[in-house]
Amino acid sequence: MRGIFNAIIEVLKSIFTAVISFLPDSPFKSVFSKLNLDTNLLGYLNWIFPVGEIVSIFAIWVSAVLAYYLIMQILRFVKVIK
Amino acid sequence: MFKKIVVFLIIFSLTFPFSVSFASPTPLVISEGVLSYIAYLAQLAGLKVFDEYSNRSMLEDVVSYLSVEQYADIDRYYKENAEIRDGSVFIEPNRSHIKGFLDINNAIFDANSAVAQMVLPQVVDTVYNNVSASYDFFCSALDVADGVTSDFISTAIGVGGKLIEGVLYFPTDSPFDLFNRWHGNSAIDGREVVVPLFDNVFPSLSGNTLQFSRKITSSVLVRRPFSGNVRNVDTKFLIENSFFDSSGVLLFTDHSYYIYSKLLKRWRTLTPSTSNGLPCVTVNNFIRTLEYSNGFPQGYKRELQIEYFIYAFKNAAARDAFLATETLSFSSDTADIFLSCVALANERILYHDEVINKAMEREWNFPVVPAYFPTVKNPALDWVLENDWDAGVVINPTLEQMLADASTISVPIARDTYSHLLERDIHEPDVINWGSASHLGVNSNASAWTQTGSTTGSTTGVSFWDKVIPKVDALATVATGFISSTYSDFKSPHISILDKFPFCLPRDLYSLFTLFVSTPKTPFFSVDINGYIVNIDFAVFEPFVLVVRSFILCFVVYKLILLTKGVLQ
Repeated sequence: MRGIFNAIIEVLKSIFTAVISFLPDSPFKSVFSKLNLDTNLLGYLNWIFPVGEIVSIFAIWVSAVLAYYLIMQILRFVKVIK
Repeated sequence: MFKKIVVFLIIFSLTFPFSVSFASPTPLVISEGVLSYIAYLAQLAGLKVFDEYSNRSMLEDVVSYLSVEQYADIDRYYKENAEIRDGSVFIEPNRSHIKGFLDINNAIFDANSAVAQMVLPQVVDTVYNNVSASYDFFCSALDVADGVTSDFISTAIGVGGKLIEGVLYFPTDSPFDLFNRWHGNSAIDGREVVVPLFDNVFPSLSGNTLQFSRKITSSVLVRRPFSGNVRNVDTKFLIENSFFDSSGVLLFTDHSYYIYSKLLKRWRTLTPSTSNGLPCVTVNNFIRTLEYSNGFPQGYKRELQIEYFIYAFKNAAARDAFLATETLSFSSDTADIFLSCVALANERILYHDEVINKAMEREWNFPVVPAYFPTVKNPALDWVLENDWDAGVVINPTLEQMLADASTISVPIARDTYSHLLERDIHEPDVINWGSASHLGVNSNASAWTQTGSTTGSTTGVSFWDKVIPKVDALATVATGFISSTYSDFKSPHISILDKFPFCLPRDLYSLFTLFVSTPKTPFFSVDINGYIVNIDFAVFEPFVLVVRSFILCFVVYKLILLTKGVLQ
């Protein structure tokens, strides 16, 4: 039984992989690697403005919101909530 | 609204301890369960929720300084494999000593790419009857340097692969039995590397034989290399692998503590050059302990390894040059072949007690480590690590503990320290005409080498070279045929939908913000006014800036809370 499930998952994964492989890559990713911001100035900016912490907090906040929506959808699906 | 904010800040300032510093941000405490799942999702999205920018490794910054923009993936290789030793960049073959990037190899040398970086042939002779030969190759998938892309690289690009890795295992005494594993986009910036796992190969202990087999199917591995305050041969570092199942639940972790020490280098072996032999130097590299937490399914909990390198040189002059500087790099052309040997310490004695104990006596400024190596003894032939070792301590059984440990590590930024390093120090290609090891001057009739000095017994013995070198040649031959004929045997590289437009946009936005993340640096300016140097140091404002930063963070959190109410409706 496990083998069947694994095979189904593999097929679905292959289909999914094939579909998304046709999508173009991120057009911005290469730009980020080429940007070279001045380190000193950035250090000064971070000295007074906690960019790193803010980005981290924002990231976890976005993750929590996404998780909330995901869980809500699941609960709706199982009819726990309307 | 503005008045409310001001009132809030004033009230908050009365209760907020001014002494709190945000220079080292409080780690996000993420427990198992739902929160770990959130973290898991975030990591899949490439978000560095665990990252603390103030703890970036020294090596990472050095490499960042040295980076060449079009070779971003190669840089990632250096991040994981380069070391700074005495001001020189030391490129080691992969610390994971059984790896091969054979397909990339073929592409590299077919195209004669300028970006090709060849890791010297690395042969592993373990003491557990498993001689494995492997080669490591790394290549940027997008070979922009010469405009030539092989079919393999084209395929990698076509499926979104950026750095494609394969692992090949070649047991000694059997037909080449192939295990392979593909990583797609496995090298993610930062100290934490999220690795999608496919067919994993793990060691298992059967009697006295360490075997490699495919046992575990987990979906993701988070690798967290921690390093000490000084990243050089005198320090130790920890690599922690956390294995999650497909639902994001932490299965188990393993901890590898590596100890480098110059003390270990006191013990080395010189092999005299002969008519058919090569001058060699054996250098102790590190002591490594590996422990698995509960949950590791094979019941193999811990091991102690000692790794030593054998450098074989073209001639005695090259060997002596190495001994004089203890510096070895691909660009220096000093080493012709690099052999890495790993021994289970409890099976073969490689080190003298004195060496080990002195290494252990060194000051430990690594907050996680002191629970280890309380005593090290060598009664008779077996190593005994008392206390924690025998008790089988489980380290960091939870993500929360893992993060707590990580939060206490502080690594200085090395950009300033190593600003004298140049690109050419690490980016000099070392393209070797593949196909045979004979051009390296390696002779299969090399003379015996023996271990001397303060050690017990011999290690590899007379047949070592005879045993190893044919494998090198055989591997090269087999590899060439293998790549051209059985490429389809490999599993498809992993494709992340988050690298594909338009699903990449959230992460791109995140990446955009992270561009502005840097280590806080107190402004300091020197102005020359008619020959008088005026120094303007903002350090005097540090207490006030701490408060400002605190207020800004509080304000951000406050706004997010308000924003959440609207978002969740």
